Amino acid sequence: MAYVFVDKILECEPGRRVVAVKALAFNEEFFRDHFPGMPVLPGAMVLEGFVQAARHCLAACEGAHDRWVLHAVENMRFNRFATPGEVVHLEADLDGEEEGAVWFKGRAKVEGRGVCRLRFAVRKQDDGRD
Amino acid sequence: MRYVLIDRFLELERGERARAVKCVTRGEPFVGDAYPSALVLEALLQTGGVLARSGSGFKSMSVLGKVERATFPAEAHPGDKIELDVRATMSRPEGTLCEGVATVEGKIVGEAEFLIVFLPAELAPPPDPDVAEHRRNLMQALAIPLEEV
Amino acid sequence: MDDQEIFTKVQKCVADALGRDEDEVQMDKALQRDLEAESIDYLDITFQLEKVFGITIEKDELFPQKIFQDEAFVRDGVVTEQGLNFLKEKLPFADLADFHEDPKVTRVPDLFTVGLLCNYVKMKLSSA
Repeated sequence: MAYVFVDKILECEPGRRVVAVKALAFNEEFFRDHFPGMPVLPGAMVLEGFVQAARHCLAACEGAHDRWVLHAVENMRFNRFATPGEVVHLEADLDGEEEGAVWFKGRAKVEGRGVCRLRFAVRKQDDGRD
Repeated sequence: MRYVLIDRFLELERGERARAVKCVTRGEPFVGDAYPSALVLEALLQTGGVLARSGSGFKSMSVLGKVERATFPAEAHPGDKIELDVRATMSRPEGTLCEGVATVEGKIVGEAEFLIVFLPAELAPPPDPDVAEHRRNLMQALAIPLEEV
Repeated sequence: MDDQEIFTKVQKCVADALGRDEDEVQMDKALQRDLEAESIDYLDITFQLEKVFGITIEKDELFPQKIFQDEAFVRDGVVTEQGLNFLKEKLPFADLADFHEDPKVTRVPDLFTVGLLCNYVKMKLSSA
């Protein structure tokens, strides 16, 4: 199955916290374009990894029927690049709810060193189309 | 999946404003009926990256410095054509602050404010003529007006 | 613009750039040591200050990188006489007395406090 940005869930407290893992392989196609000669994990893929991890965290307590989608991002900042051969840990902790949006604080790390930090929110999306 | 998330540039006012399009298709390997909003963000970031580099003749490599804020009020679906409109709000030698909006037939699917930074020469990979040629070909394919690259 | 107004505006710029509450941003707080600022934040703060105060900040005018890059300015982790003169020249709005007591290069970032930003803005506005 293509387009999955989470390889494994290490920890999950339903509705509160999740730690997921994404391993980076040189063989992954997106590295060819990002960037040629300098493969680094794109920030938007870190974000999608967090969204998928958050879905897992919320599905564990809400039941399987809600579809959670990315709603907003705040202050997403990068410390260093993550590169092929590294395993990225995505830690997300619940950080409040408002008007149907569930916020998380996220930290992406490689061997304990920070790669990226952000706040992001997901919302339930009903599929009667937008 | 490859990672060029823009299909074509419609307009490029160097260092000021860029408009581009990205089609959403089942031909790309995403799961489900809606295009992941994180990739709508990436399309805006890539448009902003070209815009930022156009201000200095595409001489430096750019990377994402920070996303100040972004919202995704609606989703895009297969068959949609996303219109990307990004403006440079502030520019410095070190980087450019951009604001962008992504719409599908006038409906907003993403908005973001972000900082593109230019990679200092010591952090950029050594110049490689094959990579430079690849980049030129890519920019031509995307209809990015090139003076010299 | 009086000192209090400058401080309030600088406080908001820094808080916005660093994603922090405004009351964490006080005059004596060092951007890196106390507020966890990183290199990207210096650019962001520069943009915010330019926008809010309508000033133009030349490259390296507020955050001179050269102190860390020029070998003549640092020896064995200590800032040399040449380095101290460079700092004095580049940061006339900084209070270097305390730094002179113990001029380790690792202490240079501690000079960049919210108060220093206010002094810089005041200097720029009065020369405009």
